[in-house]
Amino acid sequence: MNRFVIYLIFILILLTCIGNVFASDKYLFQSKQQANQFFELTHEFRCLVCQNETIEASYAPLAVDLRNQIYKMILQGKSSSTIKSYLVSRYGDFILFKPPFNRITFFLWVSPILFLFIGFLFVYFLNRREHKLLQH
Amino acid sequence: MMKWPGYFKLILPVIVFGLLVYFLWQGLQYNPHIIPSPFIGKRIPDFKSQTLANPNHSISNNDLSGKVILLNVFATWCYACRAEHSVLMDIHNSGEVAVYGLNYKDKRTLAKQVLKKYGNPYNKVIYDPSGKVGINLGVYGTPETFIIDRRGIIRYKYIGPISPNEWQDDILPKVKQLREEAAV
Repeated sequence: MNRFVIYLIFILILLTCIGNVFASDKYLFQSKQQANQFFELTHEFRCLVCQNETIEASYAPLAVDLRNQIYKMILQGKSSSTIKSYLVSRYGDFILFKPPFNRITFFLWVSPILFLFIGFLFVYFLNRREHKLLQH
Repeated sequence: MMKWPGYFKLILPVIVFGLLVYFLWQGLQYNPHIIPSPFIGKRIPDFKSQTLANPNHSISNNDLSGKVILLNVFATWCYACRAEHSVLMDIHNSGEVAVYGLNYKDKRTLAKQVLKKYGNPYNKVIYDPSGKVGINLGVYGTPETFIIDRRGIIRYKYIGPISPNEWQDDILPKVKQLREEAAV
């Protein structure tokens, strides 16, 4: 196969990814603000069926229903925090991609930095000891 | 750095590794599709719907309180629901506890057909073709079964089909325990 064919195949494969841009249903909003609100919110929530997808991207029936619900609430003028608590009160914190920062999740958020810090301490003291040993 | 005995320095990484393995192993046991319900301890949300049997009859959250009951979310398109159907029939026939149904995002005629053909374990069935009642209950996948106490408060939620063992060893004892609670 010559180079041209390989490039062509490569580009054709890339073109299939464009389909994702049009994956969502068409929702009509009253303002750019509302459209942005919809975009943001639907990317913040996890689809509980296809759990690594956002509610925006997922084709699962539950995701479709929740997109419709969010759309309705935005047209009613509900705020993002109202919509968020609507969903969290029904599905729990797991529906948020970013877990909330509170007493229960404190360790979840802090522990990576904590371990990194402990690691640095360890390396630091190790170096000090070796340095001292070298001096003797 | 403090002076630590030599063997301690050898054991420490092993201990840390052991701890890591323990926690990661525990993590493997968790099923991500079993999501804890935020409704435990909360009252059933208000709703009013037609019953499956008769569009002229309605059923509301008030009908679901007064005694300990099971509320089972099912649909004809749900394959796993067929699996638990015989268990539900056993529960219904045993008379131990009343079972109510939530027919979720389904077609009335299909649901009625299936219940007629395979048996109807439900005292009454909420007809929820749009899924609105389901969303208000935090339903994300069928089958799901709620245990509701006398006061209409959701006490437990089961995700997935109920096996005969789960009924005997888990659900029935919980139902009995809830019955012992003093009526408020």
